[in-house]
Amino acid sequence: MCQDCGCSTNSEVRINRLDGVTGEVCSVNAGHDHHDRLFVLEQDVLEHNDILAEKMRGYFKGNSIFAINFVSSPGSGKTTLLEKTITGLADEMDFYVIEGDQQTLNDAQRINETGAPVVQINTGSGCHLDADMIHRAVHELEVPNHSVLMIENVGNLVCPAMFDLGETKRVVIVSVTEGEDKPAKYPLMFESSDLCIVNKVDLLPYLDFDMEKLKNHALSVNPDIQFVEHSAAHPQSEWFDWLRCHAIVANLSPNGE
Amino acid sequence: MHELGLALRIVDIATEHAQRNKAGRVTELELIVGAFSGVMFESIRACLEIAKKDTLLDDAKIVIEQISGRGQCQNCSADFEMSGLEDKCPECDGANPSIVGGKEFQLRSIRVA
Repeated sequence: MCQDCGCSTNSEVRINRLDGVTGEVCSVNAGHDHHDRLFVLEQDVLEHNDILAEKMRGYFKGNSIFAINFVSSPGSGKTTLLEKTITGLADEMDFYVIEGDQQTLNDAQRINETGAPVVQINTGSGCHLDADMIHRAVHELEVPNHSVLMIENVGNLVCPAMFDLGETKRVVIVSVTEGEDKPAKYPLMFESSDLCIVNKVDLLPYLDFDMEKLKNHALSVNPDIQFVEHSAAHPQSEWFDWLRCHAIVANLSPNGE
Repeated sequence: MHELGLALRIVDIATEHAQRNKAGRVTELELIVGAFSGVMFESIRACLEIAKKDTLLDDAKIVIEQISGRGQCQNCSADFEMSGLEDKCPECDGANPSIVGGKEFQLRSIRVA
């Protein structure tokens, strides 16, 4: 058994029901071979991922780790945002980073320059991170208690929406150069996110971008989503304040110290 | 190539159940795909046809039931079908209904021989 999170690597364990088999229903339906047996499984295909994600969620909570899953399309400014966050809040928080890309160590190398411990997951042809990858990365990174774990997902607004990583909060980043109808085009991603960072707002004077429309599109699929506006070019307290507020909540010990 | 990975996972789950119950082959597989599950219906069928080759599911008939999105209005409690996550209540025009159906992506059953 894993000493850190209790995961079991014992594949010989079997859980047996008293009726002998799992979900067996005897069936003599016409049109089927009478040797056919029907098994009603009703098994969620992503069950394996979801169970592991919940285990990770419990592990993060139990160890006061504030885990954030950053999702966006490629080029939204995720890595720069992480760089600025780490350097800006280095005195206040301990940051650990999991980078996700199909290929290269480029983003991990950039994060490494900030001094934050980082591992890079290369998915090959994979288009998203999943809970199993995060589980392995967390062991590799040896994330300690009371730290902030930033997971930079593969740049993709479609597939990562389906995969729970066990994160404490999911943050979707949209840059103002992407157009205000992004939430309407990719509703599942915005529906599943807690915070929307509208990035590169320093470029607004050069664009015909309607901030209210963006927010309304996002709110129409997720009325609880919050917003912060951000630019790496200028100091922005809004994002740092959101992070401070939620990190405090996540890092409270059971005794409320 | 997202749906191929999901198809491989489905084949694994079905194979595991068949083997656990000492069956030699899977003759039919029934899948439920909800409209809000994020899974492309056509793509998952095509990928399953590829993924099942040379496995216990090689001859299996693939049956896929599509489930439409369903919402419940938080204002008037009306239950209604939804085609998009941004749909409003057809009774009272209330926004942001609770999503009560359409997120399913489930291996409902297998037939084995």
